[in-house]
Amino acid sequence: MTQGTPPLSRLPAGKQRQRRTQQRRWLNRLWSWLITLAGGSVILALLGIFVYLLTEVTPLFKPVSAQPIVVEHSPPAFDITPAPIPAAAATAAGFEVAFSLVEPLQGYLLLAASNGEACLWWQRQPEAGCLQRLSLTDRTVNLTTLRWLAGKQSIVSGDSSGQLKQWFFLPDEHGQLRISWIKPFARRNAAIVDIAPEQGRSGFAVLDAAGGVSLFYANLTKPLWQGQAAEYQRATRLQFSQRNEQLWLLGPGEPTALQLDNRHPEISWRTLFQKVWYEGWQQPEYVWQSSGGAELRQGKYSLVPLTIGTLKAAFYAMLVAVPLGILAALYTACFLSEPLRSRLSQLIELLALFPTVIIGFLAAIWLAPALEQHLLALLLFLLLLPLLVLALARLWPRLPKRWQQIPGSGWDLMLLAALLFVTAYLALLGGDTLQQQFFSGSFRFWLNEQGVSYQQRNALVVGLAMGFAVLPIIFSICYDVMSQVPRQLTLGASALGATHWQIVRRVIWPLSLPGVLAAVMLGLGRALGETMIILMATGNAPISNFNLFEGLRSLTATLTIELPEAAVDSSHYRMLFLVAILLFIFTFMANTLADLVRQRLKRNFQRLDT
Amino acid sequence: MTPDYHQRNYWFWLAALASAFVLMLLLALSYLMLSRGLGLFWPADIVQFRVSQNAESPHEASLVLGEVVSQQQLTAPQLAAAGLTFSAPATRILVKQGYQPSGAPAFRWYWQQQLSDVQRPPEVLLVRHRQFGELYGWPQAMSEGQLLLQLANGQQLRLQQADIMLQLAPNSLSWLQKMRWFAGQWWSFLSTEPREANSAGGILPAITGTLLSVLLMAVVVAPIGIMAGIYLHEYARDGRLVRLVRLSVHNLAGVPSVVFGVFGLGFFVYVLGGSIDQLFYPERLPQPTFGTPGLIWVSLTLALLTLPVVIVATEEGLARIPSSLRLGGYALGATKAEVLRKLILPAARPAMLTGIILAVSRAAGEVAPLIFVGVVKYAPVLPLSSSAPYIQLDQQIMSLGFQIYDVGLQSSNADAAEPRVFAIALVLLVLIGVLNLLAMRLRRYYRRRVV
Amino acid sequence: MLVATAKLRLMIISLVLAALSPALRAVSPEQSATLAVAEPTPLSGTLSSTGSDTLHNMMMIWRRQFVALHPQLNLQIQSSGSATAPVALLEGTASLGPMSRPMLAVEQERFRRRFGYDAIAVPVALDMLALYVHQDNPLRSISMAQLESIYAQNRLCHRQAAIERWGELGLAGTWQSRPVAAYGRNPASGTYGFFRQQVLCEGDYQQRVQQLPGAAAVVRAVSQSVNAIGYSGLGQQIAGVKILALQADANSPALMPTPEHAISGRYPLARVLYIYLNKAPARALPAAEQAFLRFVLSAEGQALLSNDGLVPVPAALRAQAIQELGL
Repeated sequence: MTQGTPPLSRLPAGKQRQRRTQQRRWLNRLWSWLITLAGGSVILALLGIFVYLLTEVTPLFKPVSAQPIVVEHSPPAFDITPAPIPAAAATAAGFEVAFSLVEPLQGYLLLAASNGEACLWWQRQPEAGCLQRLSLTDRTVNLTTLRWLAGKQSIVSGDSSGQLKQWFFLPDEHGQLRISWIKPFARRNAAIVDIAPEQGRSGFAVLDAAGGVSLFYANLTKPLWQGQAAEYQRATRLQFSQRNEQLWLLGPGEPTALQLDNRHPEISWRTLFQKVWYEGWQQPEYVWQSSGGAELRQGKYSLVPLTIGTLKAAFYAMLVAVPLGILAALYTACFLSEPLRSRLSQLIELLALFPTVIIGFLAAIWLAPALEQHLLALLLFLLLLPLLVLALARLWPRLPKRWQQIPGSGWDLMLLAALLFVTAYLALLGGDTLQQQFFSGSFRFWLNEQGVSYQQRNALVVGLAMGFAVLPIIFSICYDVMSQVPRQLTLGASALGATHWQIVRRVIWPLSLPGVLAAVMLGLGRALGETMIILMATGNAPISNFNLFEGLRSLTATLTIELPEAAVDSSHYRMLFLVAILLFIFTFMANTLADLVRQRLKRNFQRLDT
Repeated sequence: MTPDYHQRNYWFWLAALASAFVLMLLLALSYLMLSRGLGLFWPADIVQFRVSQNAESPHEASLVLGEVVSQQQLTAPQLAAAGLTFSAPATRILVKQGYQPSGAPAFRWYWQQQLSDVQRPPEVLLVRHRQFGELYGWPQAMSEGQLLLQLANGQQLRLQQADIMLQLAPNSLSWLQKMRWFAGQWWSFLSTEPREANSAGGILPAITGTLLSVLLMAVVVAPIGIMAGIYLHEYARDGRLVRLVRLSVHNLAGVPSVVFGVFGLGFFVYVLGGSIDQLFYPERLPQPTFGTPGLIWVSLTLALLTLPVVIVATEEGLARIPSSLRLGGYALGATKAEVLRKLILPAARPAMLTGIILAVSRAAGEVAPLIFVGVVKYAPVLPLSSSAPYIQLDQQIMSLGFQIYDVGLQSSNADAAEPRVFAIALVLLVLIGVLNLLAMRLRRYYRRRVV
Repeated sequence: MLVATAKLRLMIISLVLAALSPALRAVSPEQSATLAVAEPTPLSGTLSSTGSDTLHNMMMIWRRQFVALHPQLNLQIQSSGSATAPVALLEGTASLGPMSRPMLAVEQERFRRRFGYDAIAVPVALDMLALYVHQDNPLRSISMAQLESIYAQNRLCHRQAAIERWGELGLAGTWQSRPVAAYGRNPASGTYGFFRQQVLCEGDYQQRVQQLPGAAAVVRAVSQSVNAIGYSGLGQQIAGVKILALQADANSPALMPTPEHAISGRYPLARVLYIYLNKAPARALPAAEQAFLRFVLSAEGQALLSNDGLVPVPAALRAQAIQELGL
């Protein structure tokens, strides 16, 4: 290492000097490399995060593959003798029973004849005969297979024309259980020979008479995979191995098998973003309900409720934060003078210091119950505010001249805060009185009776709490932009006789508008990614609506409460990575937009400044 | 410009009201945190009263001893809905009764209408016992390291002096004595480890965990962040790459912190930690050493999270250094690296320090990403040791932010835990506030000096 | 010896019988399940536990007493839900996996694939889920069918109509039209899974059931919301809530969650809490784990359970576990 510049009197000899110069040059180069590397590492970090998340997600969407393999040991024999059919049921059906399925929880029995005619019989009401008669085929074709899917909540039927249909047990309007036709699956080319349900999840394999084998999943009508081979024609039965990794084709000849790579059948773009009719549900819905550690259970992963939840929370938060932040910045930057101005701005920026976990805690234990009780007071307060503004604007100019000097001096803020406090108190009193008088003590239950669903932990609570967290960001950027408007412009306008308000309105505001936009985008990015407030202040119920008074479940909260439980490499784990990517993309868009606007703004100011 | 205040309109007043509103919110929040946070350790009076479920027979009234924690007023419709016949408005009070040998809960609501004979007897003791927690009662006898305490239900408990952590007669204390007790309680809160599932005791491990993780983070983030800041301001020419770097910085600042947590768990813990284990600790597998959440991963995740803060602060600091300084250096024949090291960096040092402090204060309040990478409910052993390497990088830690979340939502003794949350939150706020004040001071100092 | 979960359930049933029948009770005297706690050599090192939130308090209580015996031992406890235990055991991030439900076949399967043997379940406590309502709620009891109608989406067990208002539970007056706000746990929790298994017959939860990340959070939310109902462990009770009696079916009486009803098995929402371990069949447990479990299963350790609203494991079941572990 070089030790500073040596005194002139002891200049090194030529060669030594040359070496020293060389050394310095190398050092210089090393530094610049290192520093460029550090600069590049930022891009690398961002890219690295994205790419890593992506690598964890891509296996979800890998197409299913299947390879024929040699069967090493024959599959365990499995019992296919159907349960004996009670005589009462057989007589009630009145046809020759070819297929029968037992509903395990209540003991319903579904009997079907080979022409597709079917009868639903209940062991608790044997005398009632067939509770429901229906045809499982079009009557022109024969029913060839009838099977439960894993979990015994839905039935798949196959017929001689290659049709596959899914049926659920659903209660009708009287609560009576009925077999309901749900949907057809993509039609096979030949008669269905056998259907094999997967173990523990709702997939199934289908064998048809032409030697076609196809893999389906209950949520999707199209097959995940299909293949055809002459040797499959010999098979009469299909069976999955324990972990659904192998599919055995059994028949009179040598058994053949397929090695399957089908790890995440329950996830596809369709199930993520469209309504899915899950087993046992009355209609197709957007559902997020992770398996939560239960057997025979498929996770239901629809990103729609989470996305809506995130957007809903962000929307209401912005509704609070944007007007407050911009107006407060406008006032602070344009109407206050130093040192009050910078003091107030610093004070408001202090708000950013509140860790969101504290805000979330307060929202959950204090704000949510308080709002439930004093909702009417809040509405009243919002109603009184414009009146207050109106009154101030009208009355102030009539006050004595000396008093009018108060605005901008700092005292006005104190005065206004006191006024606001009084207004809030009045609203509280008035709201509670009104509630007692007209809403039988509780406005919130009154709302319920009007058909407005109200949950205690709702988007309003989140909006207020998160708005509070986002506010300082919006404020500080707006404030910076507004106070950076080139002085000669405002001075010039002033010289031309513009009033103060005209300057604000015509010069400062239009110039800082892009900055305000950037502030809003950044605030939005923050609101989309906020975790603790939403996690603690909402009920995390995955509801897909924009009702202000109902709860929500956000992408971020879902990650926080579900990732620690997810087994590495399971569908659930990868789904959560997909959630993270979605968040990443949302915030990336918001931030990039804000960045572009800000860079343009910077150039504009530079141009105006010179 | 001279403001012209004669012309005003609605927008002006709206803006003024908005500022006042934000100010009011800030004050209200600060007041709430201070009063609730500090109030936890102020010795409250112990109240004694009789409760009769049945107004006709006052002798059946049972005696209750405890602190009044909060109260609630019910209106006539609320009372009617609850099936109660009190005249409205009726008030009920939440009383902290302490340990009940019968197994009854420590907190209970009582109707004001059912109370009689309310007193504040001066001799009543509050005893904090190692096993039972807090007890209220009358001291009967004290002998040979034993205390005979009579509880409100008449039962007498013989307590070993060794098991008694604290005892106090709050009703007979003077203001000064209360003050001293208050200070002592705060001290023990800050300097001991938690007890009874985080619902009692102190928060020392959480404070140390927070501090250690952010310090370690600072060590990681400082060189990279500062160098990246230097790159942006000194080395990069205006071009596509710089714009890309800048965009990345802004985006990194905007990525939700929980996504960093996901990345931390997946990449740091499972991939990086797993590889370290395979390379350096194969003998301990399958018991992982670094392939599990721990202090180091907390710090790395936080470092990633706060990188943009340091970069932006460094860049800002460099921008304030007059270019004459640089030009002078070059004129004397110094290389770029030399100018940087000898002239610019010393001048920009306070700015970088500010950046690091801001990063630390941002990191101290984070919770969501840390849940995945190594912050736990309870890890009382500090990740420090007296022998090399002094810090156990693979150990799991506690943190203040996570304590708020955990004690607030998951502590089973919710009535007792809630005031603690405010105290922990206050500690965290003070920590962050002090750091920020420091940063603010520093910034003002060097601004004055450089300009 | 491996303990399969199904076998364990059988064991529980037989134990319930054992508790009822005096003849069987005679074979399981206290001393058979009682272990000496005194450990001559203090242990050192680190023992970490990851898993059930329900068992968190109890682990802390055990920890306090246990660490008093072994001051050098560092016992770390992370409790974010039962589902985290199998993951932690599998990844080796913890050696104790407290769980509020038996491991699922999938989880055992995953474990077996990695290690070649099953994780061992040690029953350490009996727990009851209580149904909480606000203290001003006049309701006294609720039936399993009604619960299902409140919480379930597809109501597989009883096939009854959905319940959305308190009036449908028999309350009159202003309660008639008040909506039922149902609170529950997040899916990581074993309580969530147990409730789904017992009450919903493995059906789906209603979308509007609020999922709170913490057993205490549920009770606290109920105490703050007059029209709420929520399920959580019995030990979570706080001042502002009331516990409902629970009726298993139309023919049985509504029962409060008491230790007697838990042991007799008549309270429908009682369950066994476990600590799972990674123990190879041939090898003995490491000393620290062994000492901890010995303590937990000892009479002293079991006596501590009442501090957290839990019930000791019947002696015979304990004896069996001790034998399995070779303590």
